[in-house]
Amino acid sequence: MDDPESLDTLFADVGAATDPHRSPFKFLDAYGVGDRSLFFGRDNEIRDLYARFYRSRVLLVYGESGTGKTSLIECGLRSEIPAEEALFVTVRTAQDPFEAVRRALQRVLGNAAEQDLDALLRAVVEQKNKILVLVFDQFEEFFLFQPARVRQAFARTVQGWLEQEGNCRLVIGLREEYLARASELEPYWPGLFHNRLWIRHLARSDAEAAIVGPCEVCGVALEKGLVPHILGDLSGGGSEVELPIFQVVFDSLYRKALLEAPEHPRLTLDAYQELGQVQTILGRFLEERVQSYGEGSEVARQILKALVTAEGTRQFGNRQNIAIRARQFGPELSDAQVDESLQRLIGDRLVREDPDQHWYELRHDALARQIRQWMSGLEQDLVDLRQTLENRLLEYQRHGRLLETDLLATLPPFENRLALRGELAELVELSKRRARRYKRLRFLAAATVFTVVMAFGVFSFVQWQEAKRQKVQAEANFRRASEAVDHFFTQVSESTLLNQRGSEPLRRQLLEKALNFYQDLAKQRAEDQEMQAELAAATFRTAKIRNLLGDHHHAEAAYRQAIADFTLLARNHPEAPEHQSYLARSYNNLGLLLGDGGDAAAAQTAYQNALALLERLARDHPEVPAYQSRLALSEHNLGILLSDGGDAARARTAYQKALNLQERLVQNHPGVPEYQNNLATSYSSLGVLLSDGGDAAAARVAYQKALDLRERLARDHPEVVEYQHKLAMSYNNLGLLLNEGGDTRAARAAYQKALDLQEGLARDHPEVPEYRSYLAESYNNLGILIGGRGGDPAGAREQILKASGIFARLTREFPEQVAYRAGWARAEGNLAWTELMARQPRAAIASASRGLDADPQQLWIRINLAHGYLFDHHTAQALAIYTENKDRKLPEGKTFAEVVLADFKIFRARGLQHRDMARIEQILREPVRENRDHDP
Amino acid sequence: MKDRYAREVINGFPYPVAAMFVRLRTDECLDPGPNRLRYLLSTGEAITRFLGVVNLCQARDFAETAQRVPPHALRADFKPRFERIAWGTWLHLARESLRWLLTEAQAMVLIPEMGRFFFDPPPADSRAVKALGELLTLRNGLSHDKIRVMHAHEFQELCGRAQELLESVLEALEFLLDYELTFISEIDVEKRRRHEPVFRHRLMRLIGNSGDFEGDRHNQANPLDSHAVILSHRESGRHLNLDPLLVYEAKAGKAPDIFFYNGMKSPHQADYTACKHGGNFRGSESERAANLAEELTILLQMFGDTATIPPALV
Repeated sequence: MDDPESLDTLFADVGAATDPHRSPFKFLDAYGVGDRSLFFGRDNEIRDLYARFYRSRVLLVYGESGTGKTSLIECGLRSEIPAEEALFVTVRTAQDPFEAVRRALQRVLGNAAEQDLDALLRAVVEQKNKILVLVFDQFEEFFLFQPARVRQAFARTVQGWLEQEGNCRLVIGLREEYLARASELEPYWPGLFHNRLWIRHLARSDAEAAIVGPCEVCGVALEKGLVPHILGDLSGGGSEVELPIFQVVFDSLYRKALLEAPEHPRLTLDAYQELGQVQTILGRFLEERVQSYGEGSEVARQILKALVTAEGTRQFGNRQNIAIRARQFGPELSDAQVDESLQRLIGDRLVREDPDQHWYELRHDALARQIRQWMSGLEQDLVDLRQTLENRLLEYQRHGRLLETDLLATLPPFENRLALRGELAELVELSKRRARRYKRLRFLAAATVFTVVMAFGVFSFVQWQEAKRQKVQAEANFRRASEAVDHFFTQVSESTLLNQRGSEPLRRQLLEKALNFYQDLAKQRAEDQEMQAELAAATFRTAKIRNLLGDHHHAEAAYRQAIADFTLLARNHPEAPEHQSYLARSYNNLGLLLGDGGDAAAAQTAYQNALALLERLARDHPEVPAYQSRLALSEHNLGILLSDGGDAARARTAYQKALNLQERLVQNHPGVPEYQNNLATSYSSLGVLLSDGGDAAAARVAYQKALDLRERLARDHPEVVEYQHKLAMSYNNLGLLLNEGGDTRAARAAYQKALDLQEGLARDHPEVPEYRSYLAESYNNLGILIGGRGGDPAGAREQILKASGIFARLTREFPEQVAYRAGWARAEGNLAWTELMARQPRAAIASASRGLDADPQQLWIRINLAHGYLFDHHTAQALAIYTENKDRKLPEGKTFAEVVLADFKIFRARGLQHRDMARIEQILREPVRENRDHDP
Repeated sequence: MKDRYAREVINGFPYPVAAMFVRLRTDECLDPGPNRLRYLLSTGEAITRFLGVVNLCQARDFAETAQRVPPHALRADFKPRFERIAWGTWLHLARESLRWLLTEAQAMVLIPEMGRFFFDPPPADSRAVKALGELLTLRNGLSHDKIRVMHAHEFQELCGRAQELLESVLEALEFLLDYELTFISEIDVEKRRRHEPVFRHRLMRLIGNSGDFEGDRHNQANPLDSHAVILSHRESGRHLNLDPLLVYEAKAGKAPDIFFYNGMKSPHQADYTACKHGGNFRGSESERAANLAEELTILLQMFGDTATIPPALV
């Protein structure tokens, strides 16, 4: 009577559909529940996952990024469990986790009325009559984006669900580096760590199944030997394969095969060879996609950068968020530009859209890592800062907490670029108002940005001291504290605010705090083997701080210690390139230090050591552009050292090597402005070398290349002030070169461009004295040009007076800054010369005297003073100066007397005569002087 | 069936029945179609298996304690039927075991309501058992190929009929709410000087549709059988050991679950199938392989054509 066929067999595959034209690969998408027929090679993990799912209400699935955690949960686990048994609700917790769960549950019930989240969850469990599985995918976002209070509240709420709803379970997908952070949830989610599964990269044998299986299902042929060959490349000789690369390679091969034979696609070795190196395939794929957008490529880059977190993982956002974030990386984008670009990126499978919420995100973290490499240091800081602000906005909305003064203090240099709007801008403005009110009460008139920075410094220091007191703290906390100090150190050492008048002692004080921290770290952890790398890094930073503090002796010792430490680390851990990288950086910085100290031979050896290391790193890790960039910078530094030492030929070779590397970097990474900036600097240095060597034509070519690059950078990144500053410097250099070549009209135009930019910079950034100093130099140069051969002394005087005024103010503000004092003296000396030309010897005496007061070491000003006395008929005083100094040498190598005699020739040519000139000439004898004006 | 009663079935019936029945109330099974038909029939089959297990175990216990040989109606073809057990066999075993017990004056059945469920008016089959039989007939009329080409109206008709039959069975089984299915996972002994030993039982409740099997503790003077699934009356505490026909297994299957005996080649190679998510396993793969084989051997000896009476205690 019985039919032996079981009910499972009886109803198997009823209603199943087939799709013979499916792609066998998923590119960067995770496998979903409908992809089970293509999901091969993970049977063991699926079996383990399934068993663990029923073992406890909480299941933790962890592993490195790119190991396929999401695919295993969404495809492997879900397809094993019948839909009528469990309802999987996947939730991302990057944004408000409560809202995320609410939205997901409301979607399940279909426009459910507004109700309490607990009630909503209960309603889902009751109405759906199956296990409710909350999948917290990419759960590292919870720790990245949620403040502690939100995390705690959410953990407690979920605990309530687990305890009260028998049919509620959790499956958590987490990157393994966040496993320690998850321990804060253990008190709330019992057994969190007891029921866990570690997902590892695909083993080669499984990877083979993951290729062959789906190809068979989809009718795609594979050339014999292709799979082992590619797997050998992908595993790099190891036993594991990274899934994202694997998917991109095979998807690329499949799409190529589809174009050639749509009905019978066949993946071949030849096609694979055409794709190129595996290591760079994802980067190249991304680059090619973006490049193919032509004029829209820069917009696409801006948008892609807006989808990456400070940690180099992906982050999602709606169209508005993306447009605002993209502003950090370039010009403001219109809605149409954002829409168009997003659609192209979606079409190219780089970005995916959540159709319900209209959120967008990168398809995989592997892409985020590549895009992160496009960002300059400044852009990375901006991303970090915006992320902090967005987190703080959530906290403000929930608890009404405004931003602290230390955070506000970090904003000014970035504010233009951050382009804060809407709620974020309101939060910052509210916080600033509150801070101002607070400061008015506490400090009244002393409420300046300086105080904010001081508060930030003190706050950070107190935090660090607190951390120090808690000696028995977890390693993770210790590392976080260390990172905080690293960040603090970077802020302090690079802060333009701390260059303000009077900030030097504070800057020094803050740097010393950081120095103390690193020294304490070295003492406390000297015996800790696991901390050796951190210790060596701390020594490296100690050296940098010592250098910044002007303590070159100890800085050198610290660099040598860092070199010794990293040499040992690099030998013991040859597999870790970061040790070699640090070693190279230590050698490079030591080279700079030694070069500045005048020990050119030792500096050269240090640079050569750095170069040898960086050459190997760049060769062994072509996928890391930072190594090539550092190699180029070290070559450039060596070039400067050789150039200063007079070895023009070798200097030129070094510059050329730097240029070759940097050209390639710019070509391969056109979206990284830092590389363009470095390239421009190298061209500029080469230009100086060529100009000094007398090759004006070649120097002009080099200057022009630097100028072109800097013009583009300044145009594409108007928000980066530094690019405008560098552009002005390039115009100034070009002006000097053209003036020397006699093309005064073109030189004047170049100077004028420099001045236009520098006037804007000095006006908009009065807090940066360097911009004013360069403006003064340009006025000075323009004055010299105007007052040159047969020129206009009055016009020249007008320009040089401006220069002198600026330098005088700077000298008063920064009396300890020798460069400003020297600049002021130079301007006064030049002013004296123009006044001599204008037949105003008394004014010349006054100007030269002021110049010599400012900097008595500038001998050439004394000449102008003597000339002033001569033409003012104080011959005895003039003669005394002439005779007293006649044999002294000026920096350009000529004697005092030679310069005086040359000046007399010029006077005569301009119709300036004095009856004692001939007598003085006799006394001084040899007349040789052409040009005594100093270049900036 | 009233919604309130359906909820009682889901929350209070033994897990093997509740776990299958609850699926009928999910979105995937609401509309008449292959999925709904499948779970209507699966629930019917689960009920039959469960009743078969209970009645056969009652008969086994009676045979052992009363030293009686089962009647020919139960023993005829028992071995081949038992080795290739299916829905129809379970129904047969459930009915014939109970029929025997009801005719034996000494027999004490754990579930007295079972008599009326099967025979009403005795000795005729009750309406509920006839409904189970009809569900079985309905299922035997189906084949994989047939289902694949069935039209919507045919599913509608079949689902309607199957539901009607199932509801009548479930309504007649209301008495199951008075019984509790548990698994005794551990027994600790506590013995103090001058006191009788106390046996602390760690129990897993196998009631309702949740596969979590929440834990419970229970102290009593006499130990129950460890690692056994038992059915007990909530008030009186009277109980029946359902091993080896219904077992809890944490390791041998795909996941921890309750498993029905599902045929065998020999007592050492018995097959078990999960009530819900545990997949299948072979008895020899279990940590209790020897126990299971021993108990199955006893059943074969007891109900085989050449039945022998095993000693009550071994």
